[in-house]
Amino acid sequence: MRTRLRQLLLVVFGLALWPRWAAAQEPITLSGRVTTEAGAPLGYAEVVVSSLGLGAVTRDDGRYAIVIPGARAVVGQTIAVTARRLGYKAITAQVTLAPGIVEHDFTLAFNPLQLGEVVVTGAGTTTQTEKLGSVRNRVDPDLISRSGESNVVQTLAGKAPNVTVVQQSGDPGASSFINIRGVNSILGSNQPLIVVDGVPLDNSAFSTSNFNRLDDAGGTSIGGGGGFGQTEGTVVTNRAADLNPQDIESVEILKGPAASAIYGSVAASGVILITTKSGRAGPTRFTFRSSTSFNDINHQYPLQTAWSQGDFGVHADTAGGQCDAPNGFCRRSWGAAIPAGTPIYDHSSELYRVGHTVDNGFSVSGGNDRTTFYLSGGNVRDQGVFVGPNNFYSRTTVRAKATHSIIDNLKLGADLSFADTRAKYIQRGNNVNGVQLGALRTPPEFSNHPYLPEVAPGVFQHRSYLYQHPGATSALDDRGFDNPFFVIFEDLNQSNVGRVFGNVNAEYLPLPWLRINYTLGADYSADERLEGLPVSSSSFTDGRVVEGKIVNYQIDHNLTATANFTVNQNLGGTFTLGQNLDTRNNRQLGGVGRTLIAPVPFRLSNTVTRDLPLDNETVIHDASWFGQATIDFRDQLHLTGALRNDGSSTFGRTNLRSWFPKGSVAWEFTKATGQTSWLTYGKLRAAYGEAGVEPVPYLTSQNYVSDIVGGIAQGTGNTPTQNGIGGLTSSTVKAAAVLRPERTKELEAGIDIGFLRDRGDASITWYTKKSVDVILPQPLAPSTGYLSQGANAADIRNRGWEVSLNFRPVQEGDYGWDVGLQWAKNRNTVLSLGGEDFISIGDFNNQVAMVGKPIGVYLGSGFLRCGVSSDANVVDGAGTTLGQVCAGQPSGALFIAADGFPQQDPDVRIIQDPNYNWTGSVRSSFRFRRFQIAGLLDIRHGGQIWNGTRGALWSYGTHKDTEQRATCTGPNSTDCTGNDKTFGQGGWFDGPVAGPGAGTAVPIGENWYKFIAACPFIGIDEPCIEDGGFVKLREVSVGFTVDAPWVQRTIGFSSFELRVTGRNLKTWTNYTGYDPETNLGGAISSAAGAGGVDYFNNPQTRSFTFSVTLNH
Amino acid sequence: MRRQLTVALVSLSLLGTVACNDFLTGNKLSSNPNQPSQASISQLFVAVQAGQFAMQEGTVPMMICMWAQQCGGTNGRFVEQAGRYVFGESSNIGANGGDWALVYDAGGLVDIRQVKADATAAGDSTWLGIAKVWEALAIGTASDMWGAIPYSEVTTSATPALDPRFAVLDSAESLLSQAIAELTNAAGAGPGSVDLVFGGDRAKWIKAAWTLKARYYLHTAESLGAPAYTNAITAALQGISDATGGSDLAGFHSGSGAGERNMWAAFQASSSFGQDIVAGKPLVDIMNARSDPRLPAYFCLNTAGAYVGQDFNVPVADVSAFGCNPSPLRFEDTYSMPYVSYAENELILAEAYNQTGDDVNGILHLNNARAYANATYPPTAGPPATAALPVLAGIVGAALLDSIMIEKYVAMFQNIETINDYRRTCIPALTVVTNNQGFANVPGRLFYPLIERNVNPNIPDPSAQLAPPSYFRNQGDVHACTLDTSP
Repeated sequence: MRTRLRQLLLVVFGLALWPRWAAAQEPITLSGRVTTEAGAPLGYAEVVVSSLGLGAVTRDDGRYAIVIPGARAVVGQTIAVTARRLGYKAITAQVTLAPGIVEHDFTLAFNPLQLGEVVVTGAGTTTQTEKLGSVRNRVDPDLISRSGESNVVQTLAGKAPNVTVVQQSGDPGASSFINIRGVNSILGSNQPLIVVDGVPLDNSAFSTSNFNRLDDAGGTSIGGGGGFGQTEGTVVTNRAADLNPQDIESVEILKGPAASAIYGSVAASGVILITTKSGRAGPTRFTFRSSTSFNDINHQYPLQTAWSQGDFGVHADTAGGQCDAPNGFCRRSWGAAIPAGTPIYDHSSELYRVGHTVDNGFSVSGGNDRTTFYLSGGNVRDQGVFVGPNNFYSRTTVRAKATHSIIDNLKLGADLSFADTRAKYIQRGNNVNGVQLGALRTPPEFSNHPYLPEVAPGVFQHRSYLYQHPGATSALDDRGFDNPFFVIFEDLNQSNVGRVFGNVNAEYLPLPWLRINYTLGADYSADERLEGLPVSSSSFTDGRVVEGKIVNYQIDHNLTATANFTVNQNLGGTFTLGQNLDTRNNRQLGGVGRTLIAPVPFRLSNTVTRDLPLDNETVIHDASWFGQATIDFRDQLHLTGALRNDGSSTFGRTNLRSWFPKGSVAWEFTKATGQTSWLTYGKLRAAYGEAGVEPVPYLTSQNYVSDIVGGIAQGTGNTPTQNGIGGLTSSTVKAAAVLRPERTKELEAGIDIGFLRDRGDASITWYTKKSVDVILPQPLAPSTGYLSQGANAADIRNRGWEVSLNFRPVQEGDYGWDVGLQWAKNRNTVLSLGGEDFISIGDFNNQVAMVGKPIGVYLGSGFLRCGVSSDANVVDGAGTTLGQVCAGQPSGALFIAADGFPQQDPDVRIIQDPNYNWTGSVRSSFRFRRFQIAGLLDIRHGGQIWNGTRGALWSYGTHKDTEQRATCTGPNSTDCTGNDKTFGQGGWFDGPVAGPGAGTAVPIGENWYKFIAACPFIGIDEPCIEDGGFVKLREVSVGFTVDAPWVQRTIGFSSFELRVTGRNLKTWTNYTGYDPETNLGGAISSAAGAGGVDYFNNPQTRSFTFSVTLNH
Repeated sequence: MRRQLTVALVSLSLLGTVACNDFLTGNKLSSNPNQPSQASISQLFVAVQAGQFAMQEGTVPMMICMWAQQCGGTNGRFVEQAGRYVFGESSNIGANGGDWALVYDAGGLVDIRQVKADATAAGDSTWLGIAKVWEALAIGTASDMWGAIPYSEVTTSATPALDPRFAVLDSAESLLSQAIAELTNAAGAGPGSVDLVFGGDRAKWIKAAWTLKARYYLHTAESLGAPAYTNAITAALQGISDATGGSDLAGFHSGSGAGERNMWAAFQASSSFGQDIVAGKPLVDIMNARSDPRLPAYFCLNTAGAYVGQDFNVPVADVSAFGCNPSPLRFEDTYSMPYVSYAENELILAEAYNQTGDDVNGILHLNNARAYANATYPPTAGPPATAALPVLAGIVGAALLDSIMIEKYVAMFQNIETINDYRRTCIPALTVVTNNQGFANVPGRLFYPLIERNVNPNIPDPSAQLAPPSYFRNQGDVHACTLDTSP
């Protein structure tokens, strides 16, 4: 009776919505129930009548109802009705229409290989999984939700082979860099295009330090934009973090041009297609989610606790006031042994607390057969692990998504999201105002408390270990390094972002075989930055303010028409034509004010002088056409071909358009050979595609600039304008005559199989991609007057394998266990640089692209080694050459001079490769009824890190390694006794040695750590290179769902889920710094290929998250 | 309705097809909206001066200061690399690539030559002459530090060959001769107030050009002997004669604004490395011994109220810094650092006369330089008190040369010429810093920067730059006081 009533209501409801002008005939209602093979109802299953463009989604009880309008309801007609749901095999039934209500039930089988599922392939095109000619990587939204990460990019860590994610540090809001299948480009971002609901999403990152060109210690950039400032200042956020991960319904990863060519000149690094959640027809659903996390640093820095402030074994006379100015004698911890009983302070842990994150959100969704809606709201506030109030990231998001079918064949939609992101960060990195630099260099016997003592009534002054007894008048005296608590509590570094992004769209089916989609999307963000250094900050004792704004505005128009055709049952396909227009406008306006008038506020208007502002704008227009055709032959051979013609304002006037083709073939060979008990499914696939990278704008313009010239260190260059007279210099970037887009050509092939009756599946993919015409700042001899010129000059190759294995050894109704393994290897090689051996790409070290080497290797300085260094090196006053010494010695043997120490090689060589040898992950989950436990191991093998922090702390005598030290009275080894080591023996530079001093035991103390091994200061980087590989327990998640009737009765919700997630709980690594997952310049540097740099980076964190989700 | 919708959608799609090439070109699309595409001679000339100020006050003179041990060090890469000779073609102290770029790139030769072209086009020989003096100073300084440098082919080749050092010096002499002629010709209005050094004063530029000519003659004297000294005398006699120092070719720093300060002051105040460099023992000891009136202008007092220099081999705990309140004159924001000066001119004359046997004139000009020091830096009561330098008499021959070069060592503090003087005369006697590089002498020059070698095949590998017969000395460096480890 109840069912009949519901059917009746549906009919009435359908009739009520039916436009009067269309209601000429009686409608027919198609209804039924969708269940599993075990008979359990399946909610959220989709039932569609493709030929009529109609469909519905089942409710929790598995019921669906589709009203076929009278105008198209032909009694006696047989139509194909398909039921599908993620994770189950779709099934299509032929249903004959009859007057009134037609009942048809569906039983869906489990579908571990996701065959038949519709996947978005880009730019308005979709297909089914089995028809894909390229590897498919889909990230389960549950995995994203469970990860406990607030940054959508970070949620993808370890989720797909060769999709590498590196987080800058554990700071709240720190950027995450994502790369797929290696670095293709030198000036491009090397991060995939992110497309949300068909519209590109800005994922840029900008360092506030870039507004400050004078104090910027980083390198220079080509094409303007303020250079690299990310090596000092604070961490930065990548703007994709504005997307709430809870809003995501699916993530598809197009890994390279073979899959992403349809996006043309912006897709060489792949595309991440994100589809957000939508409403479904049926009862309104409510979801409330609340979680709280507790975070702490996952590793304390190893510091010595035995030796005092001072030099050459002499304790700095702090009581006498010697350390009341930044005196070199007081700077380091090479003093006398700390007497027993002297208080020791733990500078590795005193800055930190247990951080706390609260993440609350809700969603409301629902609709009927004509209108659907999805509303969500969320707020996450991440209070970081540094003590004090100035270390947080807060994001509030609101999303509204709705569709409405005006008529049967026209559906309009809108999808709008607003994000308000506010964050405060802590200065770090290469920075005397950074928290790590001051903290880790502080001598063990010096207490950093109080950092702001009251030196006279009502007068508080900044106190640091280099300025220990401030007086009432010492506000403007230099502290050397800021007290880390002063950095944490007194500095201000904030970013406030308002962002709106989304689209309006239409789907029109003028004919049963023709679908037209239109999307007009926009993405607008305004990011207001403010950095304030108070009076008495080191180097900027009179205070400094950096204030600026970054505005990004993008509009994207995308129009596609897709025709389906069926010649006969053996031959069918689709044909798509599309057009895309895109405009991107980026504006950066900011400046630096110096000398605060009043101590606060931190505003440019409250400063005495202002630097030349950074005032930069880029405008890019793209106009493209594309077409794609697919052919399905005998439902087992699937061919796809696509062609895109891109025009871009970045290409230059003489070369405005370029073509990007793609083709793929997939053969489901088990449909020809038949299934066996051990081979359930098999598909061979191959794909080829070309995609590009747009040139950086304006490289073809020759300009004059007002950039700083010269300088000894940061803060010391000259402006071309002097004494009020405006000055300009020639740009050191010579105008390029013509530029083409970079082009990456990728060929991939692979096999997907399901075996042992779907208890397991495997996917193996091989790929090779060659990027040609890669644009680089081709170095010019500086003696020609220019440093570089943009040119399509480089070729880069990435080649690799990807393997994924999934096992479901136990799959029963009440319990199940599955395991997933992923392994990937990418080999990057720079094939050509257009004549040069290398070009520099690093922003801190001399990381380079070098012919024959993987990109990002460090061309630095090492010790003389046999077979590695030039034999011509003269190694003593008698004219002996290294070649003579090394005769008969093994290659790589460390040359030991007569004094028992190695010597610097005057020729630079490759000393570091930050690229991983291979990456992998192990995922497993176990469920028992409503209890579930899951875990993820993220594995990176190889990949070296330049640990400059360690080198600097060697020099400063605070690193734990220096706790064992020779007693030195001067800088030379002859001044030192004790702690004897022999190079090549006993764990001290183990390996072959050669030379007159080989086997000589030498004292290792200040002579070594400060004057030879201190890589950031000495420049001999070899001792600072460490293995950066790791195995990280990325996630452990335990969940329990309660949906018993009492839940409904007592709290009014149909179910609730309790979950505990641990993130980054354990890291196994040989790396001695905070964490091997780090990079000084974060996503900005990584995007240039320059990873693996650690210089007073902030630590990583681990966390436990407790969450409860209520569903109705 | 359906037809209307179809029409609407077709119209919409046609609207999209407007995306022809007009959409891809135009303002802000085809040209850079952020930077001008034209620059006037004035704009370029101001920037040239900013660039050359940066060159003369940059990392190279700071490194020289440490090699010559006028500066000492306590910490940091400037000391541990520069002071102890740990440097290479890509040293991160910036003494290579950055300073090399200042010679040729923005604010360097590329813009000097544009200024020259614009001045020539305008018929302004005054401006042309001044630009040539800057060019001569730029290439001469570059050759001091790198010996043979690209010069004659810089506008004609993508990989310019190295001109030998003497060829560079000849080119500099030629430029200066042309400049003197053009300034004497006095055509055109010249830069006027855009000339931050002399305000367009031709006479001052002519005298500065003569002193610079004399400097470059001296650079060949170790090899060429008496003719070089004679030429130097001839030139210096027409050189800077203003005993007030008011006609020195010096930097101009208008105030304390960022990017316009005396760079040594900016380094102290803003770099965070300022404390790493301190007074050097040999210089302080010389000046302490005679209570030199320049002491307060050069150094801060240490915490014990004394002037104490750092010794790289035997470190001293409590040394004189360069940064204190108030700053020593030489480290004030607006201090005009002399690049080519009256004091140098007098000491060139003193040395050249001495070396050509005329000690009467030699000591006369030495005393002129000392008188200048007394006048410019009046004695102070201290403590410690300083005293005027006495007039010297009765010193001849090698002893006089020693006095002249010691005086020049003191007077030319912070000037790159110090290393040229040391290379030529080995005065004062410096103890080589104990080092891990196998260097038995003070380095005489820098490695060519990696950024040049990467592109320019004329640049040898660093190990080859160190190898015989170069041994890190420049053409014409005969004496072995700078690095020479040859068997």
